[in-house]
Amino acid sequence: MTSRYRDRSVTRILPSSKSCVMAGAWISTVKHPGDVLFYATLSILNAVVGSRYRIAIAATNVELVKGNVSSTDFDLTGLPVYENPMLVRVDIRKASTDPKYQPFTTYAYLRRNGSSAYISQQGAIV
Amino acid sequence: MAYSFDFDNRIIDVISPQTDVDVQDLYEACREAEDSLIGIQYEGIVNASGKESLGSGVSIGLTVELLDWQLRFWDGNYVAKIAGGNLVGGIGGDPVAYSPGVQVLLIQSAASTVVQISTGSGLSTEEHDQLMGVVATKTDLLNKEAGLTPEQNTLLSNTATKTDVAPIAFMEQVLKNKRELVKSGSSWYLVVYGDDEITPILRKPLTDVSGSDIVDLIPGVLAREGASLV
Repeated sequence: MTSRYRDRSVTRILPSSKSCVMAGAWISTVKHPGDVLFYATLSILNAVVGSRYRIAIAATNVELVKGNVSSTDFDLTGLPVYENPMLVRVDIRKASTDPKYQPFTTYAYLRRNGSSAYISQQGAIV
Repeated sequence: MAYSFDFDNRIIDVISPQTDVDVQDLYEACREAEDSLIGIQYEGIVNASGKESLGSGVSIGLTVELLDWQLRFWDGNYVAKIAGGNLVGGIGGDPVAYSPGVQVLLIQSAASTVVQISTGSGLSTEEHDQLMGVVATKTDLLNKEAGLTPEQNTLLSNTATKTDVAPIAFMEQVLKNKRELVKSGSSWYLVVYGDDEITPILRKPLTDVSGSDIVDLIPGVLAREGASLV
């Protein structure tokens, strides 16, 4: 398969009445739900350093990426997007070391030109 | 305190031999579990509220709500206790799962408060003042035992803290060093020498009872030692 059809499903469409008239067959490409539309960047803003984060598709809870926050603002690049826009859930938690924070959850739409999620963690009850 | 979290079945297991659960401790353990590598894949375990300060070291009690989770004690014949705050929520409004043989005492209050104890010296202002009063009295007693008035004690303390100790060293020399009766002209003097036993450091004229110079040293003549300028 050529690069033109990479990540695409190819389905042969039965000849329609029109195509029969033209004495030919229509070949069409159909996107599979599991195919990636594009890769996007999500900017995380104002996260507490030392927190743990997890980005998941909101509809299915399929995890896209997770890790530890090493700087307040950072970019997560190369996130696969399966529909445009795609709603993702952002979970940020920090409770292992002081100062501890309450879990924070927010949502963001991943778009082709990137998106951002502002984090506002609150201190845990002590 | 040790707990084990079963994220699939939403059960918090209290590990043996722990029988008492402090709600604040449970809350912190839940938060840590939520933050764990596995826990972050799941929804939260608890919600919590309270601990707002009412002033004077008093704050509202803690209420922890289990979000479709339950606390389960280990099997055995004992009475378990949950205290230190309100534990609510759980599956069907029951925060505690059944454990064979265990009787769980869940202590709850609609108006719970927490009184914070100072972690400084552990003394209140009144206790501090009282203790310092005892210390002051003890110091007075020690001074009295030493035969010193408070003023003398103050003077002694001030003297002891002086950096210039020359007068004290001089007094020691006067008391310890060689001293001599020396006749100079028509008068006799008491001379105290320095550590080298050569250099005079004090020279005091000696007179008879009438204040006249002593001409010669004979028994019964020497009567007084005059003051010196030093």
